[in-house]
Amino acid sequence: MNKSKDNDQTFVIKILDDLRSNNNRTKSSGMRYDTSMMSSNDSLLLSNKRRRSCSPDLQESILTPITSPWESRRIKQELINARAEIASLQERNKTLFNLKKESDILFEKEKSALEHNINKSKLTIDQLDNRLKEIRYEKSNLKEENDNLMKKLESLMEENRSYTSNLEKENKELEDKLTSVTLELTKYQNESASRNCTDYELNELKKTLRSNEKYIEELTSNLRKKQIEINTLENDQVKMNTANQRIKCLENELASLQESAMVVNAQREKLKRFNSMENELISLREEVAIYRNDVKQTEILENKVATLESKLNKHELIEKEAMQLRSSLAVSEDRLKTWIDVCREVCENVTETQCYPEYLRYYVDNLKKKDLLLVNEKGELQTSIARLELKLKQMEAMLLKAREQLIIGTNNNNKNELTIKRLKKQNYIITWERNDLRELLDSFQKEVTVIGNMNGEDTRIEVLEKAINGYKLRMNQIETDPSMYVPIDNNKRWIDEKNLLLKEKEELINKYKQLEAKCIDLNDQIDHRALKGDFNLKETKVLHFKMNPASEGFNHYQNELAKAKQEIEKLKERIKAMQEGISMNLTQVVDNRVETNASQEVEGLKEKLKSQEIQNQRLREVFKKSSQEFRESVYTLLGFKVDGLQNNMYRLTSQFAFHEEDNLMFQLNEGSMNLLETPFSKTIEEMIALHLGQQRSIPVLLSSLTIDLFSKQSMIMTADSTRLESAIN
Amino acid sequence: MATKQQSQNAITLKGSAKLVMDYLNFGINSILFQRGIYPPESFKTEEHFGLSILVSTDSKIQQFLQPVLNQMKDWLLEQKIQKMSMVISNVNTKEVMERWDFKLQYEGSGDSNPDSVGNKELTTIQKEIRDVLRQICSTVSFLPLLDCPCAFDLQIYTKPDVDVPQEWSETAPSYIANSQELQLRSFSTSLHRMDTVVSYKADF
Repeated sequence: MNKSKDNDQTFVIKILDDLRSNNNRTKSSGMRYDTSMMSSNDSLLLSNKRRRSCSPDLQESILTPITSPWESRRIKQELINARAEIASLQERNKTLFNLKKESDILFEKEKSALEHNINKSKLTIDQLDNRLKEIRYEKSNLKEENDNLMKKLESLMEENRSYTSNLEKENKELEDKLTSVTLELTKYQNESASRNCTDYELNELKKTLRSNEKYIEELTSNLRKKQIEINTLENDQVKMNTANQRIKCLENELASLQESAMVVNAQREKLKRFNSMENELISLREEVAIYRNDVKQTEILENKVATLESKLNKHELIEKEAMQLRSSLAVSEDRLKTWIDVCREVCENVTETQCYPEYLRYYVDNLKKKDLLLVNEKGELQTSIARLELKLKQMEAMLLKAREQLIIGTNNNNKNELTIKRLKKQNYIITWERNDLRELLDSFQKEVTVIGNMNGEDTRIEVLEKAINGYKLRMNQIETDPSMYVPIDNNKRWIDEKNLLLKEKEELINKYKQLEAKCIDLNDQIDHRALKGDFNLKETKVLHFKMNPASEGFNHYQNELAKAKQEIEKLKERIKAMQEGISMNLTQVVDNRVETNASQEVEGLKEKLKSQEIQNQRLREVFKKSSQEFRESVYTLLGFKVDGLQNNMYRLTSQFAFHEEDNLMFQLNEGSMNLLETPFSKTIEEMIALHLGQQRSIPVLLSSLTIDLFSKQSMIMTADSTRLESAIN
Repeated sequence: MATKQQSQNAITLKGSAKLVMDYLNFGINSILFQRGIYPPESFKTEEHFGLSILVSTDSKIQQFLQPVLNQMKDWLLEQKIQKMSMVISNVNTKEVMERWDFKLQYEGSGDSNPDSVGNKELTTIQKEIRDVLRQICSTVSFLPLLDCPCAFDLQIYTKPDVDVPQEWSETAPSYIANSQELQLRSFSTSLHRMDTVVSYKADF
């Protein structure tokens, strides 16, 4: 296993076998420790120790066969990982230990709480028991009382009954007696008429009667007393009923208390069971700890197995790659050989030693350069060809243009030739005509000369001259008018025009017919419209008498409708009022309501009110404005600010007053103004005495006051100004 | 002798206008009676054009008709009237139920010369008027029943340059939706020609 190793695979398998054996060992040791475990914590520590003891074995087993450094590194890494795992596990162990402690503390707390609860419930049970006893005692007492009362009641009732029956009997007897006595009395009375002696008897009888009556009265009073007693007994019965009800309530309470006692018992039993349950819990916890340990160990081992399996897979993959590389190597060698052959073939003057890819590359590069040069040359040549082609095209276009011009020129030439011919012909005709006319003229002239002084010749000559002039004009016209050049197709034109005119005529005739038909149709329509009551709005006015029966009828109808509506409203209100139960002044009430309900009237009045208010406001504004203006003007003109106060008081403040408080108060009293005393008026008592006391004139007082104040103020002002001037100087 | 005959056959413009107004008066009265717009008790029979015609004795109607016809006569002499419509409408809804159009055409010379004379005999004119009045009476047989409270109005279609008196006012023309018309006979006084048309609401 250690030294003789030929294969990697076998080596890995051996490692695996080793691991398995180790695993088994650890498992067995774990089991051993389980049996001898004292507490979960100790067992964990022990297992850790065991693992440590295991690890050097493993290291030896892994380290010894290593030949490559890579594997040694791997194993070292594994070792480090394992140590880290161990550390983490230790930490976990600690946390678990802490958890356990915490849970123990919690358990104890819970236990104490439960015990406390039990004590409490015991106390309550005792209390409830005491109460139960009391209630039972009360109940028995009440029952006894009740029984006694019932008995008493019954006895009293019986007594009463017997007593009443006796009384009734007595009463009857007495009544019988009374009747018999009265009968006797009547008899005696009858007899007394005849006999006086019977009077005495009668008196006696009367006395007995009185005594009897007294007896009856006593009996009736007794009866009343008895009845009162009966009433008291009835009251007692009612009390008894209430007592019974209370007993029932107490019984219910008793039942509930018994139930609570049952509950307490059940809780007690549970408490008894608690200790055993605690023991069980401890044992179960221990078991759980053991199982947890086992689970952890198995997890560790499984992890290790998984890592080893992944390693194995990697190795297999590497092997496959190696195979592929070998095969590719063979293929590439073949290719190399072919390349060398190619090189040899291409580069003839090359020995086998020189046959390297560099040389081939150099050769290829040379070829590429040559190719590039050739391509450049080709491009240049192509550009020159394109240029030449362009030039050719331009030349061709020029040629075409020249040809077109040539054709146009020849055409013009032909036309010109034709016109020249025509003109020559015309010229010929004209010359011919001219010659003719000259001849004519000559002949006329000859005639003139021959005839000489014949009468009226002058006029004739004049006429002829006019004719000649006319001919000349005509000639000019002919020479100038271009329409005379083509006098050949005149006839055709005439025919065409005629045809056209004929067509137009036909069209017009058709149109005329259509329009006529339309006109007739429209006339019919107008007639129909006229029948329907249509008329020309522009040329007519529709008038009617204002007071016509129709409008009167409409108005009458409207009035009636309004009246009817009003009446309906009234009646509705009446019905409402009747439903509300108003019977007094029904019509008056209804009228009032209708008036109040007349919403239209109300709205109208509201609108009026609004407008009135607006008007009022405007008036107020205007008044304010005007009064302000008035006051301002008074202020500026008379030098006094006049404030109207309550109770017909007026406050006058001078324009020149030193302070705002310097004012005079006047009161209007039955048409006369009275000056009231103010702090300011005290200061001008002299003035008041002079102007009011002697002169009896308020305006004079005011004006003198103004002058006084003005002079004072202006003095101050001048003093100020002089002071200022002096300061400036 | 010749002049006498001339005067016998002649009819003046005023006479023609009076004839036309008479026709209108009796026509309107007989329509009012025939169509039952006013109670029949308020009508009395009168002899006109050789016909016994029922004329209303209701003072209100007479107070309305007289000034209207007088005014119309004036306008007729001035050749201002184109036509006169008698509109019968429902009082409650103002719906037009029936319309009688009396269309006027001015014959003879175009100008409104008061001295122009016609040459038609009075008897023939009266006969023509009688025929038309008879026809008006006979229309009751086919005109729809007016089963609602109705009132009538007279609308005169004049030329726009007419002077409108104070008691008169302009109004809107009245039309009947879905109407049917019947043209009655026309008569002519050789100065005026009168066409009578009745339009009424079709039942369907």
